[in-house]
Amino acid sequence: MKWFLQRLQAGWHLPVTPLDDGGRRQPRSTLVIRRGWFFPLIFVAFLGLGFVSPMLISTDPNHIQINQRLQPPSAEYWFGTDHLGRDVLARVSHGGRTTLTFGLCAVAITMLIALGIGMFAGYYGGQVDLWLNSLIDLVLTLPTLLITLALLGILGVSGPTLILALVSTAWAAPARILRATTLAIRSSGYIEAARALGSPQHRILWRHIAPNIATPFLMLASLELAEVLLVISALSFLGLGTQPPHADWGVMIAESRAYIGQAPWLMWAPGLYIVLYSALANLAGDGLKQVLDQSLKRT
Amino acid sequence: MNNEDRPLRRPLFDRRSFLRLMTTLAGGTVLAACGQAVPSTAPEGGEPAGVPSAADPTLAPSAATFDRNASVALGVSRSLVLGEEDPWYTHSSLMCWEPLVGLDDRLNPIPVLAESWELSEDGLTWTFQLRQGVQFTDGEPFNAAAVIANIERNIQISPRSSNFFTMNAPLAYGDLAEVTADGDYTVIFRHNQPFPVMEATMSNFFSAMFSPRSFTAEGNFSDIPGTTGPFILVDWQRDQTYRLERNPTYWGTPANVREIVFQQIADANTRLAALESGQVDALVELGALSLPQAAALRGRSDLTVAAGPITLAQWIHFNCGRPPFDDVRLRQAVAFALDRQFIVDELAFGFGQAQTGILSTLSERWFSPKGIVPYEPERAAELAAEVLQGQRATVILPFDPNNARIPRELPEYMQSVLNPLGFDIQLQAVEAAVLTDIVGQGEWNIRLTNGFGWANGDPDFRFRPHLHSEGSANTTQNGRYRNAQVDQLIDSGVLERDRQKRFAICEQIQAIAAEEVPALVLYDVISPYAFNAKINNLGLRITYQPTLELMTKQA
Amino acid sequence: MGHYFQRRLLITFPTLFLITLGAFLLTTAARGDPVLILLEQSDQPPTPELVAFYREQLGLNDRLPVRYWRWLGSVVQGDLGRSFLSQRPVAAILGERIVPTLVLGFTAFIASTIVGILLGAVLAVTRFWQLDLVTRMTLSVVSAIPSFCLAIGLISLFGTHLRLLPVAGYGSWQHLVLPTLALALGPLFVTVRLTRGAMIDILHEDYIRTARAKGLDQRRIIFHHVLRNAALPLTTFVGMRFGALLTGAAIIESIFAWPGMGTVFITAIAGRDLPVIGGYLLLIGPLIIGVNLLTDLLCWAIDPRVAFSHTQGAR
Repeated sequence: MKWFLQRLQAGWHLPVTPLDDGGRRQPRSTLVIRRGWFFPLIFVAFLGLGFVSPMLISTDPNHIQINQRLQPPSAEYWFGTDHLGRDVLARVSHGGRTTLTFGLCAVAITMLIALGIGMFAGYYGGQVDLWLNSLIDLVLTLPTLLITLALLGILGVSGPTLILALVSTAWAAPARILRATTLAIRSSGYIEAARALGSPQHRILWRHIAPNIATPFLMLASLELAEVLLVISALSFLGLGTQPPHADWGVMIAESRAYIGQAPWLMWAPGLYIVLYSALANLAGDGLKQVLDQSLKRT
Repeated sequence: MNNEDRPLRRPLFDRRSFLRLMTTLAGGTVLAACGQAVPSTAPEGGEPAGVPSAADPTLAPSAATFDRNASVALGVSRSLVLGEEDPWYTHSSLMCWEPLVGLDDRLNPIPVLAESWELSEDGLTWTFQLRQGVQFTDGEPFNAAAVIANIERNIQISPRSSNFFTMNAPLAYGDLAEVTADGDYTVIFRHNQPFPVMEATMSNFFSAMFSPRSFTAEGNFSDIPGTTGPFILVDWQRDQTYRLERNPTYWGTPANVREIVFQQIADANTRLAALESGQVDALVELGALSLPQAAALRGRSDLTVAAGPITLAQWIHFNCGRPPFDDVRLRQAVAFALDRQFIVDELAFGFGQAQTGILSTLSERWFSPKGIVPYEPERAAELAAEVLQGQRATVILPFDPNNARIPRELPEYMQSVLNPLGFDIQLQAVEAAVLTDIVGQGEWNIRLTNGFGWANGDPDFRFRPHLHSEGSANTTQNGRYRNAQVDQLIDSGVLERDRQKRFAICEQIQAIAAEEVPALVLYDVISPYAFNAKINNLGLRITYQPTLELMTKQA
Repeated sequence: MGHYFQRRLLITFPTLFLITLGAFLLTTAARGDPVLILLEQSDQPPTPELVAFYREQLGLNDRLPVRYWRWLGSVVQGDLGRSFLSQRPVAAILGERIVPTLVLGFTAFIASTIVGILLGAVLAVTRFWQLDLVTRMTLSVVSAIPSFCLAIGLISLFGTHLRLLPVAGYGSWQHLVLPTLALALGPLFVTVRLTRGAMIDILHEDYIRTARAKGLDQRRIIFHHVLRNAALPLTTFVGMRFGALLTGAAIIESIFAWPGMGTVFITAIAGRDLPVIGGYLLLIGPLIIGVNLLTDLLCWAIDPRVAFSHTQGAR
């Protein structure tokens, strides 16, 4: 305890170096993978796993066996069976693919809109910027979850409406940040120079702005994915998720709530998957931020 | 960077003072908000208020084992107090108001505030003798004038929808010409058309009695109404808590607890957690426990799970106006194929009575075993094969997966049983609003409901909506069942005064319903509830009323 | 500056108008008939006469523009109308729910903000990397738990097992603890990360290093310079978060039987209860717009130079 307090105190007196991060000694630059890329890579690996794993499991996730219902985890059913005797392992894997597909689609569309509007506003400025910014302001004003709920409740739940509802308000916040980033890059010396040299605009955008905006873009995307996974599960909780018999993790958790007294394991599998992927997305975003900070400080 | 060395601008107000102002404001708002969140809690326990004298000798000996001053906390799932705009203010489950005519546990009309009633020879006049010496809690006497005021008010506000029960005066009182008093304690109803079923149709909700002083000119309540029941609603917060106190001047046996506080908890898991953590003493009323919860609680030593039959039923409805179920043989095939005992035992965790028909087995007067549809899977397969000739019939089954009353497994179970017969059951999981729309548009072949509480025990209440060609299930809900003979039987049954003859008609209708299956009752619902070790004598009536007035709590 | 706020205020009215119009159009276009929903509440199949009666009474026989115009007219006169489902005045329905919503929103907001900033500051200043890593890993996992799972866990732990706190209801500070925790733990991670990041950035700034080299008091540096300069990005985030806490608590409200507005809104959507949906949006819209404006004002108060760089556009 005493050591701990001393250690906390000591932090203040450590020398501050440009690449300093929390007093940890920097790794040698010979390391192929720079710190910060660790979690993003893990996350990508898990994403791949999420899409591949359903193919490895031969059990039909929608196969009903009423006489096998609510079985606890066993060698045959690793995660047990649900209220219709369906294999939870198969469902959680297949459901994962559904959840991740929805999540990734929603994030991809969100981020593309954000990128387009952010870069456009940041690069061109002037009237364009003024109007786009007002639009961003307006959308940021909207109560996000309410709009999502209203859209789903009213348009009915299906894949496209789910993604539409998720995207409808989510793009504004990353758009604002990407705009600020573009603005910062644009006003830096070398872009000015390139413009002075008469480089065509698409070339400037593609060769100079895009590479610099890539890391913040990925960072925002992974944080957005963490958020979207939670929103999808919240929607399922409210009965606005994927439609039975197909499952996503949120629906599985929502279904399992009725049997929490008899079969608590039903909630564990989908719950752990959501937490795992969402936490990894968070950490990946965090790691990318670190990468970004380091590269910004180098330049 | 120091802000002080920048050239000073002179804004409207200094931003430091603005910051300070905002901090104060924010703090103040939070404090104020918190202040409002803490109501002056009523003094709990230790205060022997209004101990009723040992007026009732039958209860005196056991008084030592329980606390007559007890305060009981009950958890419920739905709103039981709806307030001024509602025709009844409180649900009958709270036992604040009482009807003229009640229902016993076999759905027979029994006297409550009316002591007796009789129908004239021509079937046009009902005469009710009222209980004497009853007073409303606001001091008004209960007499013929009060009854007339209530009936007139009900007619005035009808129709009025309500979460409890839609106020629909013609359904209750028929074609009423006038209501008059004969002395202080006799009320006479005169009809234009004979209406021999009124003792049943006005039972329970439709003859609820409130102090005439409680109504405004429009027939709405102005405040908590004066009532006659064993409990008085003292105060309530909508959708949260309602506090009842024992009515010290109750005309019958006074209740065994001083106070009951209802806590409304919509979420089933939280509700159970409230019971397990001791926040409430019991979970009662409709939907107190979900079926899986009740099954999981069996065998617990600290909690008791009990269950009582109620008038709700689990139904399957067919769209008889659309292929494939316009063919009676396919409706029969479905009815014969479903193993209803299995559904009760496995899917409803044993909370149901499968040997039933379109009338509930609870009904002593009207239920006939001829209404029971047998389980005959071979015959089902034959019938299906005969009609379908090897082709597959597409069947749309829309359902609301969030409807907690319908067993979650039922749609998938039906799919697994019926698809091998040649049906192609397409499940459409939709939210409740969309489901009403699908039903209203007739875009369905088969659907599930859990409801239609048989509120008055009269067979017409069940027959007409489901079997009559002008019944609501066959019109607005597109059941489209047509049978002229049934129509005629139903219409004549309502006018039949002789109980034997009416039973014969009812038996005939039940037999036809079992034969032609426009709708199928899978099982009569048995409703589970739970209480902790301190609570005794807590039962459940068929109209989902917990027996609050008999309930005791140990000291 | 003044110009900016004028514009923000002016944009409020068209925004509200558009939102309510959108709500009207969507709700009307949606499947689901309020009359059938209303009449099926009480479990009896509705007769054709009842359906016709209520369709007339709720004014659903009129065309959409007529209905919207009528609604708008009564709103301008201060009447939000009556709920389709409960027949109660919308103002009364929302009025009795707004205080609990604000109480829960404020408490969760303040809890997550204060704890988040403190934790973030400690991580940034002490630069104790083991602690930093553990805290951030823990928080990233905790904030990845869906709020309703968190709520179920909290109920089971503090209610059923420890029997310390009431699991449901509204009334005392004890009732407030569990919903607050369930709501506040999620955004904590972002607050900590933002504070920590912003503070580390500022610790690298020349003027801080100068101040430290000069041997200025540690506490003074942290509170006077670092925290204050880190406040800007935080305020923006926290302001956006507040709106989310106000409107996003519906699930938590329903789990803890908290009588807030979120559940009312969800019920209204499920019941196609247009007057309640419209009234709710009219009430919550200005509240969120107000909070956003306040956030901007605070940013301006903290540092007038930076706050509006994003509105002035590129040079």
